[in-house]
Formats: sequence, C-alpha cells, structure tokens
Amino acid sequence: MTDLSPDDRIRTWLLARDPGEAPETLRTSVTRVPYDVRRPAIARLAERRLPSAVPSASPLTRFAAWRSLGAVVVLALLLIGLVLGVLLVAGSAPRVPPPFGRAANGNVAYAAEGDLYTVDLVTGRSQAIVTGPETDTDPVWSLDGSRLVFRRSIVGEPGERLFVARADGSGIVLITPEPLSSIAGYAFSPDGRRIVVVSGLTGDVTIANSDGTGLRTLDVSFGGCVFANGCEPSFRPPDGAEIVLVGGANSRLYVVDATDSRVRILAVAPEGGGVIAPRWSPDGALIAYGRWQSARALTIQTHIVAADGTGDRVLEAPPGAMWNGRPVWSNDGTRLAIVRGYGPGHERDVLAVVSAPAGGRGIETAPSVFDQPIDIPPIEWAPDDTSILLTPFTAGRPDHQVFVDALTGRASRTPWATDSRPAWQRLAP
Amino acid sequence: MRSVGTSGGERELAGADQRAAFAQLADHHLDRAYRLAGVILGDSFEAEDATHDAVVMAWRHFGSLRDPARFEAWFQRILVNACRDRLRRRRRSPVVEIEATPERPAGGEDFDSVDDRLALDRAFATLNPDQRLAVVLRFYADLTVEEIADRTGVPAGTVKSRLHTATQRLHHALGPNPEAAR
Repeated sequence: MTDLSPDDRIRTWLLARDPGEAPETLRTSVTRVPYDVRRPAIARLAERRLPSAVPSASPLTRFAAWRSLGAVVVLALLLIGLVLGVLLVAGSAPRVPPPFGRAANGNVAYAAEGDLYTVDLVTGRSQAIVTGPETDTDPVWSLDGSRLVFRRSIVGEPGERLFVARADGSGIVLITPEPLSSIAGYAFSPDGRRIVVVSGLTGDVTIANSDGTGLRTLDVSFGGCVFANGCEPSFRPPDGAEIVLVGGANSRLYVVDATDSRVRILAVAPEGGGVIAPRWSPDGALIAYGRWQSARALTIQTHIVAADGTGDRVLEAPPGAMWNGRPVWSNDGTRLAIVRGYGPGHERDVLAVVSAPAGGRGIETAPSVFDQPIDIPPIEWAPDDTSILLTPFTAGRPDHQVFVDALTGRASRTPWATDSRPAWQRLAP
Repeated sequence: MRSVGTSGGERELAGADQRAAFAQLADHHLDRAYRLAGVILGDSFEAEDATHDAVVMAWRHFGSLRDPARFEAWFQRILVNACRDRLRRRRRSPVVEIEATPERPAGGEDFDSVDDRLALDRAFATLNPDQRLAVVLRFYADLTVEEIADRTGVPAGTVKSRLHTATQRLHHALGPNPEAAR
C-alpha cells in the first residue's frame, strides 16, 4: 500500500467507500418517478388584474348643495380630525431611510450554524434573532432596514423556502410555500412590498408579496445561472419597475419588466465566456457587471452599460491586473468596489475602490485580506459608504467577514464567523 | 413558458414517450449516480436519498434538457448539488462520535491500508463540502478540472484551488511519502 503515491492511496480509499450497485428498492422507486411525480406547471400565468367596475357617476339631485350645508360642516370637522390623527400616527412611526442613496449604518445580519444573528456594531454584541432546528441562512435586508428575507432548509426535505422576518426576528412569514431548488438569489423591491427570487436549473423567476401573498412565476425562462455567487436578481431603482437577471447559463444578462414580463437582452457574453453579478447604479441609469472571456482562467472584467443596453464599455483596470470583476456601487453612486486579481487564479486577490465610471487603480487592500480564497467574495457597502463588508470564501469555511475602510483600504476581521453574504441594515440618517 | 435565448425547433416528446425516455435514462445512469453519491456522502442510506432527490429534480426539469446526449453530465450536476446540500445540512444534524478502534481487516487488507483509511477518514471530515466534492470528482470519478468546474458551477481556477487545498490536507494526513523519500 505504501508503495503507492499519495494520490493513488486517496483513489484506493475512495474506491473503498463505493457502496456498489444501487439497491433494487431504489431502482424501482427511481423508474417510477416520471409516473408518480407530477411535474410543475411549466408556466404559471402572471396574475391578471381584472378590470374593475367603474362606478357610474351619481346624478346630482336637487337635494344637494346648499341644502346640505350642515352636512358639509360635519364633513369638514371629520376631515380635520382625520388629518390630525394621521399627523399624530406619522409622528410616532419609526423613521425609515429612502431606499437609495446614503443612509445611517444599522446592524449587520449574518447566519451561523443555521441560525440568524444581528450584531450591533456600536456595542459589538451579537444577538440570535431566528433560531431552531431548521437551517436558516443568507439574510438580506429590505432597503428600509425594517425586515429581512432569508432561506430555510429542513433536514430530510429537498429544496429551500424563503421567509421574511422583522428586524428583531419576530413575525416570521412564509413567502414561498413550495420548496425551491438551486436558489440563485433574491431581493426586496425598493418599497419592500415585493420579493424576487431566481431558482431552479432553468432560472425560474418568482415574485411574491413580502406579506406572503400574491406568489406568481413570471412567464419567462432564462436558462439559469450556474454559479452560487453573483446571480442575485435586483429591482431597478427608483421604482422597481424592472429586474436585472443573469441567464442562459451565464451567457446573457436580461432585463424583465416586473409587471408584464416583457424581456429584453442587456448583454451577451462572448463565445466560451460569461457574464455575472449585474448591479444597478443607485439612480437606475447604469448597470455594472462582470464579463469574462474564458472559463480556463480568470479573465473577468467590469463592464458598465446604460440601462437601455447602449454604451457598453470596459472599466479601466490598472496595469498588471489580470482580472477586475464583481463590481458593487457605493450608495451615492460615485464609486465601485471591485475584486481584482493580479494572477490567473486567486493567488493575489485584492479589493479595490475606484471612482465610477472612470475606473483605474483606486484604493487597494493588501492581498492578505482574502487569505487563500476559493471564490470571488460577495461584498456590500456600509449604508454610509465609509466602509465595505465582505465574506471571503476561503478553504476553511465558515470564515470571519472582513471590514475594509473605503478611504484607506485597511482591513479588519469581524469577531463573528459566517459563510452568509454580507447584509448591512440601512437606517434613517 | 416563453423560452428566451434558446434555439427554436426543438422536438417535443409526447408526455408518455417522455416519461418512458426519462425512466430509461435514469435507470441506465442509476448505478453510477448512486455509487458517486455513496463515495461523496460516505453513507449508503443517505446516498439512496440523495440519488432519489436528484432523480426527482431531474424529472422536474427534464423539459429543459436540450440534448439527451448531455444527460449524464446534466444529471451529474444535479446529483452533485443534491449531495452538496446534504453535506451542508449535516452541520445541523446530530453527530455521533464513533471511537476510532481499527479492527483487524479481513480479506488481506494490510495495516497500512487501515491506517490510510482512518487517516483519510479524519482528514476528509475536516474538508468543507466543496472541497470534498472536488476530491471525489477528481480522484474517484476521474473528471478533469474543467469537467469538475462544469459539474460544480465554479470557474476552473476555483476548482484548482479547492483541489490544491484539499489534497494538501489529505497528503498531510497520510504522512511522509515513502516514494518521495527514496
């Protein structure tokens, strides 16, 4: 045995784990699958809004107007009372930030060992907000910072379901009753009322209300996104009328109308290449995304294209940078955070902050920030744009997240460890 | 469903024919899939569940498969995903520690192989799910780096990095290589 090379000893060991032929019970059940398992409806029709009945105008009668002066006075008093009531309620309601632009920094949400936590960055105290036997992960904040959407799986059950909870973990609402497979990503609409999720090998696009109602699958198929990171859909600022998506197994970027499912192709990858990680600028005018030429080495570059698909151009990268991808806009839209590599793999990865849309070298972290990365990390700006939070995907996951000062490039590890995407709560300034 | 960005003219199979075609393909690839799941998961019962999950998932998306000749690679990708999900969920499952008491092997297995097995069992358990998949697909399924990238949905550079880290750890567990020492 010891005459074998280490690799051959690994092969021998793996062969010993081989359980042999499939048991007959499995064979029987597997061949019954196409007869016993109902395939999902290929398309669910988009919800249609039925034309509402238009009330016919009531004819004025001779009893109106001057003879109802007393009623008018009563109505005016009621209106004044109503306005005062609304003002009182509005005054006591929590202030929320606008969905785009700079905001104050709130808590960071993260997942660890299947539970969700938030950490107060002022006190440094972490608090479990969603716990239990289920595996909950990848919390994403609504843009007003009041709620979180996250995915949940249960041991022994296939797929995952999306849930929404308040910022403190209370009021958990099921959003997708049927389990979803291969979830590529999800996001709140700007007003927080809807959630879009892309799932399945064919890239099914589902929109649901964040109160758990109104689930509908858009009448489109995008051919899916093959990466677990960088395929998150997002609503277009400021009103969420459109959604940008990766599809065609990372060969195309699509923009789909969130109401009528009309689709337009925003960008097409070169033969053998791909596209990934599209991000709207905060004003909704531009989209930054990554595009690569070959799957054999990392050649990804950041592109910026107008929202109508015109003017696609490569963001300038500094000399020596072999790839320069996964761009994320700052909240004020003046800068991009980019993961950059000075080798064909992940040997010398840095995080760079460059001005947008000029590009260039900008401010770079030291390569040690990433510590043997195995993938390009997801990154998120602090709501006030002073720093950046990222989750390095290193060999020994789960790992600590990393804060990067956006002005100096200095980095520091978080006290908490997680493999979930960075999620930073926006608060009213 | 409106299909976007795909070539037209694809042949639609009638429902009954499609069921029969799928059942035949699934049956044909079952053994290989179950064995691969078994090696990845190290548990035959869990391998049965993962294989069955993958078949159900494949059937649900069978309509999206454009080229039946690509069935094996396509199905392997689904299976690998199913196994990865199970490996990740294990973090939430109760773990029963089994005392490592090497039994005297039967059938001529020598002590070195028992040592190897125990060492590799332990080292493999320290790898994350993605590294385990890379190791099994490379050294058991004999896939190339590019094929592993296709099955796991990550760039080839990422696969290389995962393999490098994982094999280093496994080699370390095996101790000094006597071949190299000669």
